[in-house]
Amino acid sequence: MKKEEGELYVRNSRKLYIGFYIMILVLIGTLLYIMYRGKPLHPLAWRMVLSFSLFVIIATEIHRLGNSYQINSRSIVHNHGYFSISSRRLEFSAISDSNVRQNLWQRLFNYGTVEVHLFSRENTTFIKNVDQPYVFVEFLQRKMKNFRGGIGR
Amino acid sequence: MNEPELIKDSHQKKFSGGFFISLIFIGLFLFLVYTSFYDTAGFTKKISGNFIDAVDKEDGSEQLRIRAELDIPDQFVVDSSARKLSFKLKEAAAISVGTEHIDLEKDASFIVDNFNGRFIVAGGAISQLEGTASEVFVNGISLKDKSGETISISFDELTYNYARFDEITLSEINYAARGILYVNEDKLVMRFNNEPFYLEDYEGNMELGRNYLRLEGKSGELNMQKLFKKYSLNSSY
Repeated sequence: MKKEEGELYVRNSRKLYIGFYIMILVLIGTLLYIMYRGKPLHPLAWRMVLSFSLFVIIATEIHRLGNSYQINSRSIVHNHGYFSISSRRLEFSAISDSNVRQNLWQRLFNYGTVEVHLFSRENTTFIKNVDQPYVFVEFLQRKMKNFRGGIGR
Repeated sequence: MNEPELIKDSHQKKFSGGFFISLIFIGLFLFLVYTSFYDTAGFTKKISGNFIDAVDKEDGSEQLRIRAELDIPDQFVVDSSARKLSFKLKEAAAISVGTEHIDLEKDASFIVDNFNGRFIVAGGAISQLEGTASEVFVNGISLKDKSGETISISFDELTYNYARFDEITLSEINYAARGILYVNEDKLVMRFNNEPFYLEDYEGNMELGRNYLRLEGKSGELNMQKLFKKYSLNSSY
């Protein structure tokens, strides 16, 4: 999460990929265990595991780059895409409320999905897999309060 | 007041590669476990020739992969062929290549390609070498027959600092050795302390230093059985 003078800029949390990072650790751990036990190791084993690890790290980082969310003083902006980017803006004036949804795994690692509801109720925007979602919602509400206070004057 | 802007659901795609990565992970994990804990020769051997427990010979019998680091025998006779003999000389020596007599200086390098013949290794020296070769290199300079035929090579004695014989075949190595022998990628390790070391039909590389002999190659199963019997071991380990 990155704050820049009243703006909040977030991407998917890397905690989303913990399962994949665990896979890498399991494979490296297995290799070390095989070496520790003095068992024969296939000559391609290290290369295969390192290639897999590299692939997973690159793939998850690329996936992260695909979505970003920004809260500024007037709206939430969701940018989606890699080369051609689609940008959606959710004005604070259209937002009714928001809530956080977390499963057990997400609660354990403190990340989750923020649901942003609109007055129309037909639409809900999901801001998925953000780190510290309650901090995100608090920041959003603070911004909305400031925005509405400014409009009311 | 600003007009509300309606925004459609922005359902972010799940990480669709996750299933694919999980499948690769499971496959890789099973591969590691299988090749290291359960596979003795089959699957590994089919994938790579570099990692072999038992090597099939053409006649269907099996050979064992051996690696040894031992002291140098007092004397042994080599009567066979080797892809390459390499020597780093300790002292000056005289050799005959074809019809030419060449004086080699101290520290000269001397390489013989595709050797076929006989020599004796004794006390840090090679003696009574007689045979043929496809090409000879003296300090990197090539000597070979113009017509492409093999050339004769001989010398009485050559002392070395280092000698290496690549892809040599030895009918027998038999002496009281000190050192260590690894069989089949260290599955069996034997230490020798002035005890009989016996190998027959050895194929592989041999390296001779001032006080060590290194072997890395293959030996027949039958020979190992003799070795096991000598030490009351079961060859079906």
